[in-house]
Amino acid sequence: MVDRLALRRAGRAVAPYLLMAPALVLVAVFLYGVVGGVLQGFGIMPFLGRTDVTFEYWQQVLTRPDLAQSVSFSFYLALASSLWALAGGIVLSAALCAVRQTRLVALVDVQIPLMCAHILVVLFMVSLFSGSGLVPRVLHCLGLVAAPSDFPSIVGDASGWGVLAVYAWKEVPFVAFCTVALMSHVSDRFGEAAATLGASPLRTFFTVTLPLCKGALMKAFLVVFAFAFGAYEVPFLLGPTLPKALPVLAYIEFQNPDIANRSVAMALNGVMALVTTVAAIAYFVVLKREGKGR
Amino acid sequence: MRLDVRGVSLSLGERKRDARKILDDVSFTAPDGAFVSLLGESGAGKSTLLKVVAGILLQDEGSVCFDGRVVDGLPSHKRNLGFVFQDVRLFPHMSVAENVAYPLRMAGVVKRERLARAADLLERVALAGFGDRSPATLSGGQAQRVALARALAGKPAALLLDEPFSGLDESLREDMRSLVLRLHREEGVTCVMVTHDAVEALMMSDVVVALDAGRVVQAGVPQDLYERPATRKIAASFGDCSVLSGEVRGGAFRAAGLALPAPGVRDGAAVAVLRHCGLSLAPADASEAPAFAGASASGVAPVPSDALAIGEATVRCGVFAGESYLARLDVNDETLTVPVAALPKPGSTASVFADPGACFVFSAPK
Repeated sequence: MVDRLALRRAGRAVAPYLLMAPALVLVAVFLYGVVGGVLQGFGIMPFLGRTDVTFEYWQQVLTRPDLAQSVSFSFYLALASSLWALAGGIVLSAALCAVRQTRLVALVDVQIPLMCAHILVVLFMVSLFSGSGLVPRVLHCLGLVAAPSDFPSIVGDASGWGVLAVYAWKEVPFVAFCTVALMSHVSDRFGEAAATLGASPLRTFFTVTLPLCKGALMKAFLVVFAFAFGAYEVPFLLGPTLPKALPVLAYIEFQNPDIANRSVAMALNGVMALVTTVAAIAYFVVLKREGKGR
Repeated sequence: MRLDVRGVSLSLGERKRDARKILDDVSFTAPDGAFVSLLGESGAGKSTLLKVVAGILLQDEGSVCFDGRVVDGLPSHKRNLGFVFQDVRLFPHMSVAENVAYPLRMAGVVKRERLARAADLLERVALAGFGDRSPATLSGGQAQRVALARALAGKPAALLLDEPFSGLDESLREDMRSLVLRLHREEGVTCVMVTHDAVEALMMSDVVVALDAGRVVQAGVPQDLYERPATRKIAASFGDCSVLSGEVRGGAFRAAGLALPAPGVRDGAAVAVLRHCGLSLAPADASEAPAFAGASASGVAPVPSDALAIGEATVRCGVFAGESYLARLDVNDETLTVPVAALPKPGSTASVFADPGACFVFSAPK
């Protein structure tokens, strides 16, 4: 006779794994890519008959004269864009809380920017700010610049302001999206309490709302930082010729017709992975602290 | 500080067409140093009214005056009020002492001085030594006492309390009530407390303002509301009672076999509120007395000499209620409950006696 109780027990034991299966597949694909990339960085490419571990490519990468500059430039882009995103996100989030997130405002300020691809933002930034774009021409008409070409070039400027502008447009709404719900709750619940205790709206924001949203803001900052450090398409299209951002360097090496050069690209990716891993660890530390605080 | 609320009305809603009137021409006065309770059931507008007084919500009409001065233009943080929320709202990122010292920090008091005042206040609410703890480690009663200390830290002109005891166990409530009254006495501060507990309002207040559906339905000293309730809801809010539907004809309320005097109530459909504490039973026929208690006639609660015989009803059942028993009597399709000393026999007929001061008749709402 079938032991129905045992069957139910077995079903309950197996069910969580079955439900997790799609997520596990995704994790497996990710791990396969990471492990494959790391191994290629150490020269292991079985499809080319290379199976011996070598540090040659890492040595080649770490002794490149342009590596330090590329890492510094990527770090600068990531830090500056994430700080901009953080500051803008806080202001946008506070504004959305103040207007009680009317649907239209939230749509225009957050949802549309989140849905736009980076490449699309690059296109309209170029159409707005390039030498023949709208802004330089308007400034020229107003007499603020002698010629449209005097406006700092959005493409290839050494300061990378074009890259930062694209990231700001995309990531400010992302930070706001990550924090607005929490900020709204904090502002409603504790803002009222602070106001009755003599705190002005500004002091309430700095002494209560902002500290209580610190965890969410820190997490959003780290996500933007890791993304901006590792993304290649915006610095590839708008960044300067030299120094190149680290992901751009890796992409160029990856595109080299010599497939063996892929090991160099993977070693460069390894450097990027190390930096973003530090950001990921910081993210989980924040997450853990938040968990303890609750 | 004397607090006056004059003709305050407020509608709330996402859009104008969805707006619902929460406060409708509300007026009351809290005399200087008095303890005033805003009494009403959920949705009566009590907490909304308190938030209007605090300046958190802006009224559509009417004014709020402190010592005769209109303060409608003053933002919340400039009204110098203390507010204790029902859900406490201690700042979780600050220690207990920092929470209590927060109003002083906002007032620009130097750190050492404000922490000393916080320590003093914590001692007064019996939480000495709790200053360094996180609010998350406090029990509900302790958190509420910290909230009380915090509200008093800035030496407010008035203290507003929004159902401060509703989240506490019954055993803690009595302690907290005593503490609030002691602090009120010591500080001499005007207090306005929101509560839905009528007995709590009676015990704590100098003045009770009863609200229903956003309107003040009665205001006065607690005895007034208890002895001369203006509405059925107020009459029924002070402890256990039975509510019977019936009809008033010629100054008398009738429901099945019961009749109550109803002076001044217009003829027509009416409801009577009969407080259990003013009701007693006697067997309709002396020979049936044993039926009430099984073996003993003395099982029936003694009828007070000034009680009024209001008629007879059939006992449906009796239940044990700890200190006494409760007899359930059928009155039309409704139940009249009367405390008795012993279990009555189901099906027996009983004479019902009532203290006229514990029975109230009101015209039924149309």
